[in-house]
Amino acid sequence: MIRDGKDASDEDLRALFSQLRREEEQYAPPFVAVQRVRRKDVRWGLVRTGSAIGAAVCVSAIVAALLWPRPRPAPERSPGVPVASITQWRPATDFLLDTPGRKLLESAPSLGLKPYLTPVVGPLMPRGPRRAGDRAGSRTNALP
Amino acid sequence: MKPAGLHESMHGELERIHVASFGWALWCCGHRREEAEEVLQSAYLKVLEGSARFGGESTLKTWFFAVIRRTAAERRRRRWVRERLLERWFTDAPERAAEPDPERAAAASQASRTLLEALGDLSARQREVLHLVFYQEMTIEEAARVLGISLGTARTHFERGKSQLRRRYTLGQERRP
Repeated sequence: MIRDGKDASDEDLRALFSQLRREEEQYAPPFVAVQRVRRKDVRWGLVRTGSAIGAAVCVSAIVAALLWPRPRPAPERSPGVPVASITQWRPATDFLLDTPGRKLLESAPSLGLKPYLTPVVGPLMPRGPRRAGDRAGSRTNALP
Repeated sequence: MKPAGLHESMHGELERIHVASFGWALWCCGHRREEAEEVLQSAYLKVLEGSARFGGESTLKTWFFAVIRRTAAERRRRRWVRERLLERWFTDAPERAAEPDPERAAAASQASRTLLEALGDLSARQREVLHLVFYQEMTIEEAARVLGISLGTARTHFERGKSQLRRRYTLGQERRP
């Protein structure tokens, strides 16, 4: 009889465990049966694992093919259209720089030049007989 | 049937300790018979495939019991992952571990039922040490090898487990009519 741990011996526990072992041993499957089942399981497990891996690879390949970024082809140029040189190129927003002040500056007269003093290329006065006092060869269109 | 690749003497030795191995597998799987059979099969397969190799540092029984224990732990982990991570997402009713065989439990004697109930109250480590020493008739040193713990730790679990088992067993006997 097992009482408090102090006065009981291990033999009591051994006897209890032995009884339990005898009862459980009756339900042990035969050694051969365990291995036979295992071999079937292994074969079926290999087939199942192989199928799962194959399916996963196929799905991955399809997804990768759909999602893979493809390089964009370069825009084709028609042979007849001339290509503008970089020196002639003007940005599309260039018109924003055309302010009214810019036109005003372009139209401002330049200083230092008197239009009425500019030499006249052709004769302004009809030729007539020379009078005394006229300097010979003077063709200056001077104002009085 | 002798599996290819398995040494003849090892095959004979495994066959000799097969019943004891099944008893240990049963304990590692919480007395779930089907699970214990699968664990034992997986352990045999490991030996067949060579993923578990006997190095000769201990007895074959001690080594194979450690293989069984590790296999049962791996199976528990896999089931845990399946239940917690996968089946929670895909199904409403995850596959739970089977309950201990009720038919076998009914056939067990009253003393054995009381003993199993008392053992159920102990920690897993205490239960394992007591099983290996009393049920499998190993020494504490061999039990420590199977469990991968030091001899001192195994001895501590053994002594504490024994005293606790005695208390629980006495209480269980008093409760029964």
